[in-house]
Amino acid sequence: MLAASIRLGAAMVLIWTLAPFLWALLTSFTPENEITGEARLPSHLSFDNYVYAWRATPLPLYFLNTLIVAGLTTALSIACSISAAYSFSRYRFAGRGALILGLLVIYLFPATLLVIPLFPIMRTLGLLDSYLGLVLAHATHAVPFCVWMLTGYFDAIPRDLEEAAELDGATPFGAFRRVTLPLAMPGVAATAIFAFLYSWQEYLFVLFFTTGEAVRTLPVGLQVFLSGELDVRWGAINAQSVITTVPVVALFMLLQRHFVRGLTSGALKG
Amino acid sequence: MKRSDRRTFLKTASALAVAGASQSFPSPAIAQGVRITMWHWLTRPDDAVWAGLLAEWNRRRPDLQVAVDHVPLAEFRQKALTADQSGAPPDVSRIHPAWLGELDALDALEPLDQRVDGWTHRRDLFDEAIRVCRPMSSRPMIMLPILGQWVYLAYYRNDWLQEAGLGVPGTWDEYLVAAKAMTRPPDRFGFSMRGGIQGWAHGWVNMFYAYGLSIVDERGGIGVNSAQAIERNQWFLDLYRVHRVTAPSAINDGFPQIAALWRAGRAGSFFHGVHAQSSFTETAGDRVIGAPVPRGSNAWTRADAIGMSIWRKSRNKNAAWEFLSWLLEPEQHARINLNPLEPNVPALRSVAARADYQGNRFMQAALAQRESWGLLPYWHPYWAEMADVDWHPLFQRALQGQITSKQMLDQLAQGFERAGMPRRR
Amino acid sequence: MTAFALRGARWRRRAAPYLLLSPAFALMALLVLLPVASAANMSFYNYVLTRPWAYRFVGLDNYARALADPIFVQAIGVTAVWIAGVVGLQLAIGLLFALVLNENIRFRGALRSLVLVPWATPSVICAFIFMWLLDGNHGIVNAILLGLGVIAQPIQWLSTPGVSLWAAIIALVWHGAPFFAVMLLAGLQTISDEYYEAAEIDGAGAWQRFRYVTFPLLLPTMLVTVLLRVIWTANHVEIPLVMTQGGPANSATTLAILTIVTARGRLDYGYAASLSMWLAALLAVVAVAYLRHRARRLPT
Repeated sequence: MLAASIRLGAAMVLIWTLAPFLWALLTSFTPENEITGEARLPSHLSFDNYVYAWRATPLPLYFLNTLIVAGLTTALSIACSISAAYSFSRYRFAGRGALILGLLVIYLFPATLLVIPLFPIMRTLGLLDSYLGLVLAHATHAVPFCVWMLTGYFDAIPRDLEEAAELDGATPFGAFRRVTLPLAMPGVAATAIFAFLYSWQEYLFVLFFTTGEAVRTLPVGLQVFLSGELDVRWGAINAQSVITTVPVVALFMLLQRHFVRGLTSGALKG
Repeated sequence: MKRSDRRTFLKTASALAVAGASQSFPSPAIAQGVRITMWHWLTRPDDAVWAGLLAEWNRRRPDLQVAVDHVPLAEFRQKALTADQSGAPPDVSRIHPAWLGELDALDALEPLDQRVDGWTHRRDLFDEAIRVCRPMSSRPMIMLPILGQWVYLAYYRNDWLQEAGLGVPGTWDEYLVAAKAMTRPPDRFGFSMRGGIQGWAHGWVNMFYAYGLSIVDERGGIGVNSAQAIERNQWFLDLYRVHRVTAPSAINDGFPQIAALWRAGRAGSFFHGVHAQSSFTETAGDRVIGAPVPRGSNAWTRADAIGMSIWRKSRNKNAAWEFLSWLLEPEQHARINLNPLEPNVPALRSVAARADYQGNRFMQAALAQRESWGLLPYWHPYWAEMADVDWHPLFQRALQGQITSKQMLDQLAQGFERAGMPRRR
Repeated sequence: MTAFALRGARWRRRAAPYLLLSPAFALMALLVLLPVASAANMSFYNYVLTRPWAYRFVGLDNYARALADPIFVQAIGVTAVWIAGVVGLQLAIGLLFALVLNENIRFRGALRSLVLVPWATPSVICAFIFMWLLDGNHGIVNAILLGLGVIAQPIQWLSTPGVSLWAAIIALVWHGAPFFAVMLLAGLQTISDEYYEAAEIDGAGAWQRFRYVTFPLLLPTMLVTVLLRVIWTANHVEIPLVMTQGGPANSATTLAILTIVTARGRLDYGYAASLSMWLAALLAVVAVAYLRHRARRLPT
């Protein structure tokens, strides 16, 4: 009975998750002139939409840009967050509660509010149309969440271990680096994936802070190219969605075990 | 580079281009390389003409390189104005005619009359093509008609009209008869009405001016909510509300949905520029015809232009002019406006006379109605905002019967009134 | 990196936590606090990009204008439905996912990865996928419903007031449910088996085990995830904007969409700034309510 309902649940999970994607996959292989046709299934599988998407879009460049921005965002936000989370987890100091609250408050401000005043700031700093500008914008938005996650992970690791290392002559930093950090690594990896995914598909900042293709990432690039004023090609859009999604899913397949293990080592408990 | 040098250069260059000797483009005496930025939006993602022209220019002119940035049309106005007010607009960009009024009031674009007057092909330009580049006839030219003119047509499924034993509708009353005859739900809809954003452009505004109604006149008189306007607006709303000649999705349809209806062969008529023809012929081919927009009390055809401009804050205006005027030369102009994906009515007489144009039936239909070409009050500071933000929610509420035709138009009138007349510096 | 090595002097030990916090907070000061201050300032001015000559201090006029604007008032209601719909459904589906993925089933590893597909799909692409699925004239969803005889007429998902908002909600639920799933899965895995064993000895059935063990122990994780998601959802624009343009007739215009449209279409930055300050203020109420609820557990 229970096993049956679990299997039913698993089936529902799969259908809900994959059905829209599979339909997109099928549409992407349907010749454009059959997409709006009566028959729901294509007469033959066609690669035209992929060819079109590839030709119309500087896809390799967008991929590279997205990887660079998401990679650097992950590195920067994790570095800042480890440091901050360690501080929150291991020290008791004046203003600690207020600063934790401050993180939440910062998270409250919508990107829609920030983009307009950020534009002149980015411009003054010469950060428009630059990787650094996007990385800073993304990292800032990823940091509060990462700090929360990591604080939870560090809290879950007993202090005694560090203290033992310090008794053996390690500096507090050394103790942290050699004892706590390795133990928290699965959690750090899970947090990193959150940061990476956020940046991978962030839209508004990229829209505002890029005008050229040079550093533009996938979500905005695809929209610019695939929603031409006179022409929206559903086949090509669906081909693009497949192209964008598959590499990330493949990455997850590889990292999945670490990710879930990492997540469980210090669940966010509020 | 001294101005006199440049003049000489320009004359030589233009003369050579006219002579068709464009392969041996001379290298000008600009000591240091100049790089200008052009903002562009794509109407067709796979368009090759613009990419080809830019590659050609950059190959020929290592000293004057043009870098293109693609900005989506929906974001273009905000991005351009924000960039302009932070002091760094592009050097040149595409400009939508609906923005001319506000850009003129901001003094954001470079007046071009003098340069155009001194240009080799000045005489080749149609008067209409110059007129569309001014926000008002009394204002300077702040745009170049590089993309020709966007003349509106009524697109019909001629086979459906013939099936119903009807000819091409000449008046709006005949149009209603035709739209009804072509409608066979759920497979066919007589009119692919656009109720979503920017829907005013496709039929609604055309009908207004065909009845001699003015939305706002050059003295500031607001006509958008006159008694006759209210009546005509109701007539248009009834296409959806009463006669049901539109797709059931019409109320929030944008161009993607409409293009899909045409591609599926389910739409009977639509109003759009001559540049959009291939969106309608993709499936139905020759069965789609382009005809004059129906007459009301008079014939009126929207014929404006997306053009290109030099931003006033550009530091490379001469270089920008060199580039833009090159694009407007007959050879390049023909390539841009003969683009099968986005053909337009040329701004140059010599190009319009070419056989390629004369062979395009849509182009012929557009050229045949030259006497009825008209412009919308783009000079009004509220126009762009009305077109972008206010029109479609009001129209959609009126389509649903939440507000009356009068309430819809009264609200638009308030917008025009609040914004007031353009400020002149 | 080790410039702030924490040996020796006491003041150093005291400074250490602040030094460690400084990179994160410096980043946020520059890229959040500074623009927020600037936006707050903007909201007190008549700042319309197309009318620089009319730029002047107007005090609270922009805030008052919002209250008198029927679309703003409507948008608050739409935002409430939007948040409740998105977060409620994401929670329900995420919980189901987490419970299933926590069981020892075959292909669990693959399933755990596949569940993340929607999350890895950029939101703009999600919007296009769902626009296509729900297209009123050619969409597969209508075709299936018509084929099954569930409906007699195609549903105009994106063209019916009230429905178009739900079309966008469904798209965002698809996109965001995996986030809930992984957060809740993580929470589930921290619940010790001993509780379940004890419950089983007491004769608790599956539902009772969920009701009296899983649910209360998972509640803190759920609440904090819900809070984060409420904020995130309230600020989300691209899916409803691409799918519905906030329409028809503003029926899907949330506060975030209204802000974007005001900034992008009216170029009225002063009013747009005041709208987003309103949104931040309304979210602050939610956040404070949460913090009060969790007051005892809040780390201090």
